[in-house]
Amino acid sequence: MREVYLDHAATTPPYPEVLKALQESYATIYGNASSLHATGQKARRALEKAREDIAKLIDAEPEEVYITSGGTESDNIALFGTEALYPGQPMITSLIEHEAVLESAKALESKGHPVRFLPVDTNGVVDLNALKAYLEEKPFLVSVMAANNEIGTVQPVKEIAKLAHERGALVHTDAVQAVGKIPINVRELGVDMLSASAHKFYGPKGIGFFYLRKGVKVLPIVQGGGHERGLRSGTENVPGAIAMALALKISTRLFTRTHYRYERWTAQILSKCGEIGGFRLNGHPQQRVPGLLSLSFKRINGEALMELLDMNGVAVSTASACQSHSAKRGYSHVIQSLGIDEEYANGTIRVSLGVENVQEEVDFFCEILKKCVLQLRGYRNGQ
Amino acid sequence: MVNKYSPLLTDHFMNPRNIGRLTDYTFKVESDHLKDGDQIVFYVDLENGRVKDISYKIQGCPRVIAASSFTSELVKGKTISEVLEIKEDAIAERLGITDPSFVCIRLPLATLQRKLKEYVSG
Repeated sequence: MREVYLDHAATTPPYPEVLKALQESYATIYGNASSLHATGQKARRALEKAREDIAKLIDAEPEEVYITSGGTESDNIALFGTEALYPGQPMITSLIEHEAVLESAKALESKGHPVRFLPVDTNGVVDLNALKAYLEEKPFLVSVMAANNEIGTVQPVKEIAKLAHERGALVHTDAVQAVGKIPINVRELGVDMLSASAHKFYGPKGIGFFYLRKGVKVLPIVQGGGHERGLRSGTENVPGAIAMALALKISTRLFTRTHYRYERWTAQILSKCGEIGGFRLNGHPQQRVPGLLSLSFKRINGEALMELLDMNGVAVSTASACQSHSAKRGYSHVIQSLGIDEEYANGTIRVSLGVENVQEEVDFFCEILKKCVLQLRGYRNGQ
Repeated sequence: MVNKYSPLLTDHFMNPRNIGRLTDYTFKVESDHLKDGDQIVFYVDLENGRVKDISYKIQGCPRVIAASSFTSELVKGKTISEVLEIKEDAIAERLGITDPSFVCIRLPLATLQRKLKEYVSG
């Protein structure tokens, strides 16, 4: 059976060049970057080159880029690495953050930091008026994601950073769904901290980076040998860093091509949805990550649609999960925050295109999507 | 593709039996446990204390669809007391969902049994 992968917001298949670089560096650059002998120094040079490459691609200084294990760790460094410096002070985040930030924020709450959660509008854009109001409480940190993982809405991070800095708060952005997908320039955004994860942009899993603006103080959350200039102890994953830098370089080079293709395919998918009827596209109509589509179908169970698509050879994800056994809603906190009609919210799937997709796969998906939605609506109508 | 569902569950989800709406039925019953617009409505036609015919309309997760289909086949032709004797676990086991937190797999039979109990007690 044909298998079409349309879940690139979950993870991406590494570029062939990335796999090659990974394999080669594991074989030839195996030294410990902290060792003083030639083998170690070879690894050190390769690591610093990767750091420089990453820094250049996001307009940072190399010493502002810290290699981590990925987005979750970077988010944890941003929140837990700063909170102890500002005991009892509030922090602001949004209702639609990834769990890596949401759960960390809740943990900070239990450590005595009041946490304010910014609401979003129906397009999933954070409420800047609420931000202004909460900023009066003198928070130490504002953490708002650059792009949402479920609906793709790109947040006004630049404006958020400006407002937060006027009130003396630090600014962190979880840019896991943005880096490698849209141009990210840390100077232009004006953030103090940023999180990224390589496997979202065709790099390896288990590696990411943390941007920390020069002069901003963050405490390490893991104690050890003082690697990564004391911020992130643990022997550096040099092959991973090399592969990540290469993946980001290739993704950035492909922006124009991928954005053009995604725009065309998005129009094709939405046109098919129009033919099917009873659907809505979630997220902001323009301010969005190209190729990430959150689609809600009226009177459909999203989990059933996702599974039926999978059984027909198409991998997408769903914001719905069976909650017949609990009092919780069956769909995610992000979809709930949008305040959309329940009849639509329950039938939400996320389709995320990738660089390796081809026209025939999109054609195939469109046909299968129509077939599956109509099949499930038939069950509901008793047909 | 790695199948996380049993072949039987997959088959009943993809090709549910007895979907529809009977024109002549003794009673219809709706599940009261589903949320967010999901629903099952069973139409049951009883004759001489037996389930002569059964059909349903459904919106829900793959497990509840498969369980409704499987249950509808299982009860068809059975007497009311035979239906009331069916153990919920039997359906869950046959469909390969043994995690008790998935209430959905037990819901179709529970819905039918609840209504049948009401029916016989008048």
